[in-house]
Amino acid sequence: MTESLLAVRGLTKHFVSGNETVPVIDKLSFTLGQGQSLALTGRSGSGKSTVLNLLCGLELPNAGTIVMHGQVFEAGGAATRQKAAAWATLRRQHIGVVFQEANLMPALSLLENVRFRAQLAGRDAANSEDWLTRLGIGELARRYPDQVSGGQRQRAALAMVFAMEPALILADEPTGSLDRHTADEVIQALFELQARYGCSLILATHDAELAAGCQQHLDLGHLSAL
Amino acid sequence: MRALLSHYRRHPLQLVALAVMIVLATMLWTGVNHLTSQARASLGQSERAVTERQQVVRSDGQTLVIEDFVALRLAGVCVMPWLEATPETGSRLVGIDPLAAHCFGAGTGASQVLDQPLDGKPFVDMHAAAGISARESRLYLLAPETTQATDLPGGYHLKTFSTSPDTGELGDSFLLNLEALGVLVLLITALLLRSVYLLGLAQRRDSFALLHRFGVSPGQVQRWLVLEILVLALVCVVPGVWLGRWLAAGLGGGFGKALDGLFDIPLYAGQGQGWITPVLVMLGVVVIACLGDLILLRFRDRLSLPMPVRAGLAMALLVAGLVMAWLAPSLPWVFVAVALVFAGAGWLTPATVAYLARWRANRSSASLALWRHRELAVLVRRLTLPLVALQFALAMVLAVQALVTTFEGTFDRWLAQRLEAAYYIEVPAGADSKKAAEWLTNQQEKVPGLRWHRVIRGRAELAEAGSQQVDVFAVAPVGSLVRAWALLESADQPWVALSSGAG
Ligand SMILES: Nc1ncnc2c1ncn2[C@@H]1O[C@H](COP(=O)(O)OP(=O)(O)OP(=O)(O)O)[C@@H](O)[C@H]1O
Ligand SMILES: [Mg+2]
Repeated sequence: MTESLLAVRGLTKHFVSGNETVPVIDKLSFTLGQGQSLALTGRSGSGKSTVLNLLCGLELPNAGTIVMHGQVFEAGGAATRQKAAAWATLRRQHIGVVFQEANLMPALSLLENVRFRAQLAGRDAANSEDWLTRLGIGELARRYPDQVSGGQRQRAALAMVFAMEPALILADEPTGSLDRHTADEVIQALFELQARYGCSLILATHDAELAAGCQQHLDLGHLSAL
Repeated sequence: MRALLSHYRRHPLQLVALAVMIVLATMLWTGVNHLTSQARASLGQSERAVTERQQVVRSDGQTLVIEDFVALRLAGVCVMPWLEATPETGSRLVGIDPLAAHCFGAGTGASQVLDQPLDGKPFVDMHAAAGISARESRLYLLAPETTQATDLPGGYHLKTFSTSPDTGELGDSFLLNLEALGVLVLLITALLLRSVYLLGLAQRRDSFALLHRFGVSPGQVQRWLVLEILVLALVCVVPGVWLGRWLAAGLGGGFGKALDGLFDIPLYAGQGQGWITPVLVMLGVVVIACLGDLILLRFRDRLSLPMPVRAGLAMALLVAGLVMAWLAPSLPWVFVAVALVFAGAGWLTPATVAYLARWRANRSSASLALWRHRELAVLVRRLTLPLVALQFALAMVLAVQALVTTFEGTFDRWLAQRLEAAYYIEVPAGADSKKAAEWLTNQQEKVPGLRWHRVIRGRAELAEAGSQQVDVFAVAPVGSLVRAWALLESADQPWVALSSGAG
């Protein structure tokens, strides 16, 4: 295994709704090497999205440690402001996030979206159009997100993520809203580019077939059943 | 930043609406504000122009007593005592000494009236005025215009004397109306701006969430938003102020002419006014209207109140406003009270309607009806601001109406006081004006130089027979204004007309 990009130890998260606490993630531990891919599976409500949010700092854990890209994030303690800033920098430069929907700025064309994301990460935006072409939507570069199909939007979202040359891609059911055929095409493109450019990938999905394409496998439904 | 602005590239109408609103509001407000300050200056000038009487006062600030009068007369200064007394019942009386009136020489006919025995109100003989049991009385010593400061013995100096304390009130009420109008314009602008801006913001909320996911800190987004609105405001406010001054110049011309007509001297104070105040005020309004939430957001956790408390607070505002309106001692308080009522009602109305809609929704079994009522509830809660804006727009219409009517009303009184007559006799509503006319006619026989003039006000009321509201003015000499002024009707031969029933 190559040098580890991400190490998670004892990650715990519970939500408070009303006056009862709902445990979602309980003492989750795993590591992910540079360039490796991990499938996060589990039934709906098992906490896949929650894990991804914790891994990019959009949510803060109740317990546990996350070592990401050389930075250590311990749960609890003060300094939430510094933590949030550190996570924001990581998200801006090294962590690409793709959700099921709404990954594009609605006011920007596809090309502008890709360019914007690259610039935000401090990368060269010159080959933004190439990324769109590589994902097969080069001719739609000047359309706006609401003028293309859902599958095309997800391809554009992938183009955005790759244009920022991330160390880690967090994909939360990126093909959840697509039909089987299109989903396969998009996911193939994702795997192919991820392998070619050597970035790590965590793919949350309830689809066992998609999960099979990943090197590692983590089943949350299984965990919470234990 | 470019990504943020791109929103407006896709929704140019929103930007245009914002810009146009800022420009128009700035123009309107600057115009009104400009007019207000000019009116203030003009009124100040006119006060000075009209107040030409002078009085002698003690340099040590003490009130004058009879001994002062004696001392001045002994020193050879011709002064006329003027005793203002407010009896326990009835209105202010002025006691004058007919024997001392000759100080004012063979000047106007009006002053010659003073040589005659006085029996009409409000002027009575000095002794009569001193004799009544007065709540309040004050002695003034009037000096003729020819008196110089050097003529006075030590311890006294000259000061202007105004016979009509009401004029200040008129000017004030007029200015207050204008100012209230200005504040209303600002309020409506703020509320409208806010609605449009929040609409755009709601549409951009997804983008903000996305930016957060992209690792842009919310603080940074907020800074961009502040910068964006500041630039927009600055770009729109400056031409707005320019247009507003242009508007004020257009309107001000007419205003100046009206004042010219009144005083036969150019009075309109058309001096310039700084740019900085309007620009800063409008910038402040725009920023507060658009970014108030941002500021509030920081305190939201501490400020969030439970629903019943808020309803209670709104209710309290409403009641306080109503009570204040009832008890308001002066015009500014009425405005504050009305504002309170509107704020309370604006706060309460959507909540109430939403509550009713939810109540209806919970009682209705049909799912479509349930949806409809729920939707209404949500909609109405969002409509708080536009509703308040609407109320303020209504208030503005009322304010303009009030402005016009109170101005007309007070202007009438003002004109009465400012006519060139030194004194005027007002016949109370419902009283017979013939007595006054007879008295005046008698005076005319005794005093050859005296000319008097009848002025009729309130033509509409006059048309209805019965209570004739006729005011009689003793005017000498007859000014061009009296004949020309459109608000008033004047007649050279009033009693002929009256006796023939033309009234
Ligand atoms: N903000 C929240 N407050 C309270 N509970 C929450 C919150 N967010 C998530 N949960 C709960 O946490 C659990 C995990 O949610 P999560 O979204 O991670 O599930 P998931 O595995 O992504 O499901 P899906 O496959 O449907 O996307 C769910 O039971 C959900 O109800
Ligand atoms: Mg999920």
